Amino acid sequence: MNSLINRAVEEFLRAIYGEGLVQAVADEAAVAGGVDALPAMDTGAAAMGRAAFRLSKPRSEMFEDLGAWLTQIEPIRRLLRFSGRDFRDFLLRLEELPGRAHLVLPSLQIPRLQVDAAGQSIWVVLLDPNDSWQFVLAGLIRGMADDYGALCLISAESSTIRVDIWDEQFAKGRNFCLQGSPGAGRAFA
Amino acid sequence: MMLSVPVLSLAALAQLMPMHLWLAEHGEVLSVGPTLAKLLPDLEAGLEGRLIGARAGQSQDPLTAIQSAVGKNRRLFLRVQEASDLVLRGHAVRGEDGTILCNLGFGIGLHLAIRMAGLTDADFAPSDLAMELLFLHEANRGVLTELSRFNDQLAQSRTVALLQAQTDPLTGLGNRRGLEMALSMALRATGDSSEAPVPFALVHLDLDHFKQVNDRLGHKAGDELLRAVGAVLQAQVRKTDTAARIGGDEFVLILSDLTSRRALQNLARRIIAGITALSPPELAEFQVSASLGIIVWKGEREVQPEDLLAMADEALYESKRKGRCRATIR
Repeated sequence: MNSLINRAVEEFLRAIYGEGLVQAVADEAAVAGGVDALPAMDTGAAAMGRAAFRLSKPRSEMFEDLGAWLTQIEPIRRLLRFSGRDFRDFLLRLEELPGRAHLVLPSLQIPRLQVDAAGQSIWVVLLDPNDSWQFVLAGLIRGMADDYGALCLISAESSTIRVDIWDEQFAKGRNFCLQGSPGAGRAFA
Repeated sequence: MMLSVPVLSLAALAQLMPMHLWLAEHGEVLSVGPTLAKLLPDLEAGLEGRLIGARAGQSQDPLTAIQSAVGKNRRLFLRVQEASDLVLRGHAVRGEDGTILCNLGFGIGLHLAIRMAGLTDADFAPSDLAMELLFLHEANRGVLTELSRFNDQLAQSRTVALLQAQTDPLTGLGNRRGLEMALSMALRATGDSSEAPVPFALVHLDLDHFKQVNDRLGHKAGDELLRAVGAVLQAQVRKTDTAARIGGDEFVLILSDLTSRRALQNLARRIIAGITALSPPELAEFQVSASLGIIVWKGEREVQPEDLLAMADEALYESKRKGRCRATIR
């Protein structure tokens, strides 16, 4: 479901960097030969690349910020919280993420994940190495650590994200109850 | 060889089956699973007044319903008395000592139960798909909302694009494509023999001395004149009619159900007067006006749109030959 990814990217750029950047990126995409003129962005990934170039930011940082931003969108945060009762449980069950995504959006290709754990460290391995997804996932984990109130160190190794959990209850996590608010369906305003 | 049956403590039973209900042979409640107890805190005191048999055509007495489900090895449906739209479902077995063990679930009433009892992840047995159901429900709702937004947007863009593709940006009238579509439609209306054909008049209009406006006053003045002519035509046609600019200073009108020569002659006069009034005073010797060719079509013959346009064009050239500023009606 490319259109959903494109829209998420567009909304991310708009929320963090403003309408000006979105327009600039969209115009650039159109000039670069966007035959498909309807969606303002050609693809989310290309748009992220263009935005990173304009902002002189490393791509990795842009994708990570996107992942972290996603966890602040209430409906998405809720879906992520359904996958684990605490931060450690969430990480250990990240293996289910591609399957969960597939249940809802069969065309969304999230790389398969394998989770290993030893002591306070957890490794999330991308079985189909993909830089962009790896950075997005790292950002997602960072955002969810905040959400659960956990203190951890996240580092990237080649096609692996390493999470060292220092304190699972470092801060009060954000509230989560099974019963969502009536407006919970709408991802973006 | 006889296998020995595991004997569970009540605590273990509660942990394994948080929605269980254990009854003595005659219905006293022996144990209630913690999740079920959250929903019905005083269920331990007895089934009466708290649960109702919910199988249609069967006894409403909860114990009878449970015993019947055990005896016939059927599904058990129990309605929560204080929330009549919440029906618990499950099954029940009889132990060797005559006691009855029921295991219940929420089924499709899951959301209601969560709302009523403030349930959390920890209230469901890990084998229960409740969390997955909730996840799917929210995820689907989110995706559907987004997709329907996409659809609305696409439909809107499509409408705008269609309209633009048929519109002349200078005058806001139809363009050649818009005209061709409208003309085909006007002719097609008669394709169905059950309906009487709606006659119409096709007007082909060409400005007189427009070239001089462009040459002497510049293209900007020319464009302004065309726009003003568009407004004159727009004002003279009805909502059901079509007005289009099909190129340069050529305009076409389709006037639905207008076939009286007198009415057409009057309309032509009004249009010519309106356009003559727009003539730039600087061009005294080349007064701008309009020549019209009008074809009345009464549905009596099969005709192609382009033939009809060609006939209107011929009528228009007769007006030009006869000295411009007039209408020829055929």
